[in-house]
Amino acid sequence: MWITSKFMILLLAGVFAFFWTHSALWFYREYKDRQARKNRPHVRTDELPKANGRYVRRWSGAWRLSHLVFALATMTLVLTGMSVFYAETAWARLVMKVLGGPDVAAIIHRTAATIFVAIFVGQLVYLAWHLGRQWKTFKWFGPHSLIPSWQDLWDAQAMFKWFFGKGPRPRFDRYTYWERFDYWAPFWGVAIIGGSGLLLWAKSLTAAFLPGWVFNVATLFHGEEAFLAAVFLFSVHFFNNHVRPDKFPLDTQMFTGRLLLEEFKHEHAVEYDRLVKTAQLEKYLVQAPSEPMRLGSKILGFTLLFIGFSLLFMVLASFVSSMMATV
Amino acid sequence: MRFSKFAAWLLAGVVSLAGTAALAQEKPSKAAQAQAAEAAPVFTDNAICLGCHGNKGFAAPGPDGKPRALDVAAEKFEQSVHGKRLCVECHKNIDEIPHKKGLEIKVSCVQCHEALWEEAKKATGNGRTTRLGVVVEQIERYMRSVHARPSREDQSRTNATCYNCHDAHYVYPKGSPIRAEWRLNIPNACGQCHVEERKEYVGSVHGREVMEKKNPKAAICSDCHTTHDVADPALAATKLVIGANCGNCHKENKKTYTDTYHGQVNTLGYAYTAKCFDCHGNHGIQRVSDSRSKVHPDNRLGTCQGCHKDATPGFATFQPHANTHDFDRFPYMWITSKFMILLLAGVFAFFWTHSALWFYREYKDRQARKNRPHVRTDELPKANGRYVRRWSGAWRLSHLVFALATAPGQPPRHLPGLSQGRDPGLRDLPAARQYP
Repeated sequence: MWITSKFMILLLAGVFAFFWTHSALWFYREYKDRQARKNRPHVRTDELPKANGRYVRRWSGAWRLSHLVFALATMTLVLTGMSVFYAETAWARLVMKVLGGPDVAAIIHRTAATIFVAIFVGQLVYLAWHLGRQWKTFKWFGPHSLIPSWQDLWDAQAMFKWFFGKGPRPRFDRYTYWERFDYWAPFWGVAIIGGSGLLLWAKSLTAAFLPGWVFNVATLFHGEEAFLAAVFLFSVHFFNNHVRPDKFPLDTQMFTGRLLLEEFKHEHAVEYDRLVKTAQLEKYLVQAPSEPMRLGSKILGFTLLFIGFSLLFMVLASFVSSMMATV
Repeated sequence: MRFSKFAAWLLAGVVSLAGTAALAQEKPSKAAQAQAAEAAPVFTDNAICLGCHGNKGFAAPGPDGKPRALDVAAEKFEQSVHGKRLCVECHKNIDEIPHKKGLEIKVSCVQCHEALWEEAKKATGNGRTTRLGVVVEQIERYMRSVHARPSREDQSRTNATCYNCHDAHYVYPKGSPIRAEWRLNIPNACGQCHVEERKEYVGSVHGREVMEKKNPKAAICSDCHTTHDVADPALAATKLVIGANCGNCHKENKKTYTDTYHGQVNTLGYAYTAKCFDCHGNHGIQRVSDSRSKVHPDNRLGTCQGCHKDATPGFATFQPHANTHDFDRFPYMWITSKFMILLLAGVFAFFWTHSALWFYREYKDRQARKNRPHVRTDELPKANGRYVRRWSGAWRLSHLVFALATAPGQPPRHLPGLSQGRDPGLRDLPAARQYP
């Protein structure tokens, strides 16, 4: 009896020790796998043969070069200008020290301004020449025109509906309304900032036929509008193109000129459908950007983002501290 | 007598301090000084000195042969902060009467005050000791100022020293009416050396307020040039300090100036753009309405042309002190400013809201993986509904009978928890398993 009892105790203990541990561990792993949906059938979309590797050409070399020069000139203008606008800050003093003083900064500022305006005017001349040739055939409110149309308003409305979950994500054509806005904003900016800057630059000429208060008003316009432009570019423009979840952390299409076909389909569905329908998509399909181009665009893009966000931070911090000082 | 003991102690302290200082020019040895200090108590009563020096008009021929005033107004001295000091505590080289021939004035405010401050720091603080600290601080600043440098005319002396400005015997406590009176006389003190500048100043708007109207708030030399940090006004750094000092009184004008490019460059620490005195003038400054003013409408363009050689008439109507809140004076500025505020507020209110909402929705959509290509597996036609046969009827029947036969059985004696109806075997029936 003693032997049998001890044998059975050992047997039971052994069997339950093994199988209960077995069950507990099994439960844990199977539960985890279910949570990760491992046991649900799925498709590895990243590895689908045709989804990757195909790109659509969206921006010509002229567009990309203009954009890059614009970006660099704007950042130079913001840095040298805001250092004067927020002269009381420590960073402004540092910038001036590094650049060699406000007189040197002024020369840099005007050089960058000249380059900016030259590109701007050059772009207009090119556009005028280009459009002049197809004056009659060009669809002024068509998808290839940057002129805003009613569709942009409907798109914006649909966008807000989508924001509030009251409609599907709107499908866009070649240019979205925020891209059109980004294109036209510099017209206003160049007119106000460039115009007032020119009045202040050619001060003797200005004062020869205009009253002195023009200088006061021009200074005010120049600074405030520059603040608007800088903060808009480095917050809203950056958000639309780089920060929002679908684009984060960087969209290189303005540097490589190309967009992944899948992304193109997603962001410009109407254009995609039309190109497919008219069998024109092939015309726009290009190879993936070369490795140096891909890497270079990434480095360039992140550098510009870093500079832009630094400028945004400097300007906003100075704005807040100047507001606190007046309160 | 308590006081004289203190004085003797103090002198000994000063002497030992002087001994360690490297200021020795024609300084007697430490021992000799100590001897002099011991000899000093001969004059333990200022009445002895005032016997001669207390007489108004008391004078003696100076080194240049002209009579030199040597009289002290006893009551005024007694009101001063040094009123309880002995004459010989400062005039240490006076130890006999009649004085030695050719004796020079030799007074060190610095050593005495430094020793006092060292002592005061050890004692518990009170208002008086803080004031002593200020004096020592001012001494240090003075020592770095242009006034403490050797004179170009005579390198054996400094350009100016403490008692040239602080009326030697009559230094009054801060805030006292008599000190306010002394302040009004500062332009004359400075004017002893800076004769031309004083002449210009006396006729200026500041000078008239001070000298004629005795206005204690009007600017005297030191309000612009600083008291103890006086530096060469040709230096950029000095110009910036003087410009900033105008703003101590003219606050609003300083602020509006700071908003102009002239002022912004100044704020950055560069002095090459116009500063207050470049437009308004310096010592001879006048009100704008005064035809002598550099910024009187008749003179304004000429003043601008001082820097802007080709300045045109519009320059003269530029408002270097415009603001955006005074509609009556600067309507265009007011309108521009309000317009820009509205524009900025509108643009950012719209676009930042737009961005924030967009972020929210797109983030949600991504989490739901809406924009990734995906397959609705639940709706795949063939994934569901097809089964694989795994157990034959014999297996299934055997298992069921086994299960039922085990179920109502007697639980093992030492497992009392198991009873009828709770047969775990029943739960082991295999569920239908799906394979896609």
